[in-house]
Amino acid sequence: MKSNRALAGAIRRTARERLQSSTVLWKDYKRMLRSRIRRAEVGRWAVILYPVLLLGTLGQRASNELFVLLLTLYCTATIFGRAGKFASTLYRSADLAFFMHVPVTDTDFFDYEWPRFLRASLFVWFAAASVFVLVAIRRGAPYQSNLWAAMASATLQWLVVVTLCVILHLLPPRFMNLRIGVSIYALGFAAIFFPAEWAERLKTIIGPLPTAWVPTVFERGVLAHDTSTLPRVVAVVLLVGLLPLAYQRVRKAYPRFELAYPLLTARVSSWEEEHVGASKERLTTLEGEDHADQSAVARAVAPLAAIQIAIFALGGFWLD
Amino acid sequence: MEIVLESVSKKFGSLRALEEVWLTIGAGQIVAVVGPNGAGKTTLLRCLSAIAAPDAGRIFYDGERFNRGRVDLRARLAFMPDFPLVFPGLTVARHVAMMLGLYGVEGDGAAPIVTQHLYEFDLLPLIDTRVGQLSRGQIYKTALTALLSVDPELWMLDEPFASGMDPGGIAYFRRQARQAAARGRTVLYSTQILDVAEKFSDRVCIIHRGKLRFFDTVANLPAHDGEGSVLEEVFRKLREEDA
Repeated sequence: MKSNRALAGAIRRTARERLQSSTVLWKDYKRMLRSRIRRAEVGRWAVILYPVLLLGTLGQRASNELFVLLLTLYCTATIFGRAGKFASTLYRSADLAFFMHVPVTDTDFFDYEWPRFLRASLFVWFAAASVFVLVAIRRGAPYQSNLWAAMASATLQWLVVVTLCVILHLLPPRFMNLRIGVSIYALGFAAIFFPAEWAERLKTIIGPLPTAWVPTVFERGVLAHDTSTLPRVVAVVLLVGLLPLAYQRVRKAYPRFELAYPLLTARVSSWEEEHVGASKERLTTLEGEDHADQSAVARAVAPLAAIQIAIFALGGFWLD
Repeated sequence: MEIVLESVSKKFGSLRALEEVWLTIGAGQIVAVVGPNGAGKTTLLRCLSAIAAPDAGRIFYDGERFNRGRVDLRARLAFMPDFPLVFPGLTVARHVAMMLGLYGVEGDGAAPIVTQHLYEFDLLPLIDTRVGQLSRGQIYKTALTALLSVDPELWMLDEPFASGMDPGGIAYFRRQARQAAARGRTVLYSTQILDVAEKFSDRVCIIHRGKLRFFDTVANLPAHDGEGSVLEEVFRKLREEDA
């Protein structure tokens, strides 16, 4: 799908020529151009700046442990939040409503949304890099070499989050992921005010989570040269190595069920929710060979999804 | 493009939006789909544009089975909902260009055609204005500009006469639709305005409670002695049947 800028340019040129032939129209055009309000980017920047300011404020007094805990909680919440948002985008968004009206394939729509999903998740890299650099500075570690290690670790952390988001998509879309994400964000916010011993206990509890692997490796392995974190490095690499495979599976399996026009009544929406996945057979019957391979794809991804969930739930324990 | 519906049904939960609709529409016609609110008009248009998949029955375009996977057939039709879907951040020029690109219309040759439609719709001074800043009628006319410029074989419009368009825009749309039908295009639109349906259609398709109740020319509707239009009389009788 292309934005067709060349044609837009040609339309503008032709239209402006036409407008210039009439004083009234040209004045109207100029007036409209002047009154054009640029979209306020303030909101978006506030969203980015808020965590930075929070980090800066916390940096005055908070411990490294708290930073790592917050990063882990933030990344865990982001996995659910972004997975839920991605599912919403793919199955019940205004974008979907628009593209259902034009002759593009479902795969085209997926390919249009995928880079947007990646870009939207890049804030994880930014947050992780900030925390790792801060932790390295506060530990008094040599600046330059640790800066590169922090960047590399942030990239790995971002890839871990993206991989786990995609793995969640191997299961039937669960829009409640978004709610789980919001709950964990709330826990992260509350953790800022926890007494030190609570924070330490929470950090131990969530330590086995895959989102804690990279921070642990950076904190103990890179900065403190603790070789016992090596299994975690291997686990991270293996997990991230699954990303291309998981991405291909998710792309092939889209849509997991019959796409429904997302701007329907609440009653219809709730009915669709109850029947998630149930209409695949009907879709296959109706659409014949076009989607005949979908059930096979779904069957093939199920064991992989189960393994990934197991890794997600238990992986950290056997690493220790 | 010949359209054939064979026993098309669509349910939403327990709600029967369409019930065994059989219909054949020849090319080069303007067809008004009329019916009370919730009759199934929009669902019919959605099924015809593959936005909704029928639960049962089949749809054929020129003898070819139609479904969402048939992007080649979907490229030959366009459906405009009553509230056109747009990317509010795009300017009018970019939105129209994007739509043309999605329908495979490329090259500078399209620009004069688009410009002419924009001029007729009084949208020319707005080419660099973001769609999100336009009024509902102007958004509809922007979307309509894209449809007219693409000029697909089948035009489907949901409530174009209740879209907020000004009289000039409506008149231009009617002229274009008439010319399109003369070129062999099929124009299918839904409306609640019975006068419009009577005067601006070759055939009328009456849907009531998801069922097709009538499909023919207005002249073939049963005559009546009472006041009001023929279609008003038909709807009065349908309501009486319900009661």
